[in-house]
Amino acid sequence: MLRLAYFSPLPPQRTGIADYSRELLPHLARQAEITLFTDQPEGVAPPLRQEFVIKATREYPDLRWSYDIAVYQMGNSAYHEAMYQVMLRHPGIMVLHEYTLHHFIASQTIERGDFAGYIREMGYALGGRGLRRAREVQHGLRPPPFFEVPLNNRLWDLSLGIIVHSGEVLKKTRRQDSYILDVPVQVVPAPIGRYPSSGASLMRKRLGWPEDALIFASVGLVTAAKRLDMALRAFDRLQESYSEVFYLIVGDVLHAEVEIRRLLEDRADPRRVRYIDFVESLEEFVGWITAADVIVNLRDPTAGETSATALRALAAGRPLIVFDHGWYAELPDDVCVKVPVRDEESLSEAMRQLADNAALRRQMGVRAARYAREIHDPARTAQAYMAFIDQVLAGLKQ
Amino acid sequence: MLQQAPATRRSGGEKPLNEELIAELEARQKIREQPFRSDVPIIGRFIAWFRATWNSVSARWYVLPLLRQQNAFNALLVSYLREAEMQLDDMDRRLVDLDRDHTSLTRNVAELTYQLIRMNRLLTAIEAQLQSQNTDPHEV
Repeated sequence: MLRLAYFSPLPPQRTGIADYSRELLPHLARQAEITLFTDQPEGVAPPLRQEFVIKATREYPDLRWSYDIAVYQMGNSAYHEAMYQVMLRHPGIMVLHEYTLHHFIASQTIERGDFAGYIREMGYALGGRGLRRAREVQHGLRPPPFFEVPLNNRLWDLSLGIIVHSGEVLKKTRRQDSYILDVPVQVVPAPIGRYPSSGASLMRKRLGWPEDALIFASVGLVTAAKRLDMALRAFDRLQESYSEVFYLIVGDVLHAEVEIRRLLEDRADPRRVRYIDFVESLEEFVGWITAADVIVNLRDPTAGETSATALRALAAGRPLIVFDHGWYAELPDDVCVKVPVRDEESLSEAMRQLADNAALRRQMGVRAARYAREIHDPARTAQAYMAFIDQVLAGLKQ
Repeated sequence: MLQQAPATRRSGGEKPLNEELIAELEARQKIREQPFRSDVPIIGRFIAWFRATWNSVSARWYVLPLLRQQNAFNALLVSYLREAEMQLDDMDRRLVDLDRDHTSLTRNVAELTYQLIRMNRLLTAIEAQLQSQNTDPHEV
């Protein structure tokens, strides 16, 4: 059995990657001997603490000879800081959750006044052009090119193998100037299990809305990129024709980006929109998803991420409305309605189309659940992981 | 892998970083004598003439050498800043190239490390198997 050093944020940390690992680990553990490395082992949720050996990320350099390979779950947030530092010195297989890591790099450099570090990364990615652009950022002449320059090249170059979750990320990397992909890369669908929810009817009752209410919902971390303002404007228009439609928002708000109170107050009929703050339990979170009839899961710009929320909605048998780009464009057409990016008219039309047709919603929901079960089954993801790890190890220069 | 030309090799038209700032310093490095003016109605011209005359008697011959000294100093400083900026730019580019080399070496070391781990495991397994057959592994 292979011995894996597995680096990841873990529950209860508030990141989708912690949930991702929670889904994957039990299945991976059937095929490999796993030690978890995380920033605060003592803070990890009890079920994982009971099932796995958990060590602090900083311990890895001394222990690295005990593992066949390290697997790093890398994302675009500060949760990955400690593992990033280890990965720079002791690379292994990287699972890249988002195509762009610019926000992460900026948080580690610019936000700490370390412009030299930022200039170094921009120079690494773009040479002289990158140095110049970074200086412009330093002098306040231009904002950081968060989505234009992904700043992922160093990790691509370091890694012995890379797992991504969508063909879109692979395609984007191949399109990068001067970049030749000479590392094994595998697209592995993200795992999503079926969670017992707190019960759709129970959750609907808690809302106090009519029993036959048609509920649209946006769930998960509320950021500007989720385009909630646009979704709610489209919803306002929908109310002109439908009397029993409601909108539910569930999730932590990134207050620096979104003024949630103002968004709620500015509605045509504020009583038809409800906001529920961060939900601690995954069961309750899935419960709110099942309480809805349609999940509106917009993202613009996209960082090349796979949306765990979208996958949970599919697994729960709920149709989605998404923007037609990034990973979202790769979803089958019969499980979601794809609308052109930032096209409010089309968004409104998509909402109308699903509001009009209960049979369509049901059909899409059934297909969505089947799709999630067949493609995103955690056991299948674990198998793909192991096959890829074997391939990488076998390919090491003899 | 990034297959870019070394950062130290500048492409055509690439100027050093902060070129605009240096150019602005260059444009403003020379201090010039300013003529006296007065906005007072009717006698303004007389006031300006009086000040200029008084200045040429009392201060001009003292101030002008200082002005030349300051201009020489400014020119030297701007030229030094330009040179320093070029060197800094050059160093930044060299660092980028070193950084890329370092990244490539780190990857190689990691690959070798995993190979070594693998071989150690294999050796341990072979030793265990040989021991189970009562054979001294060193005599095989």
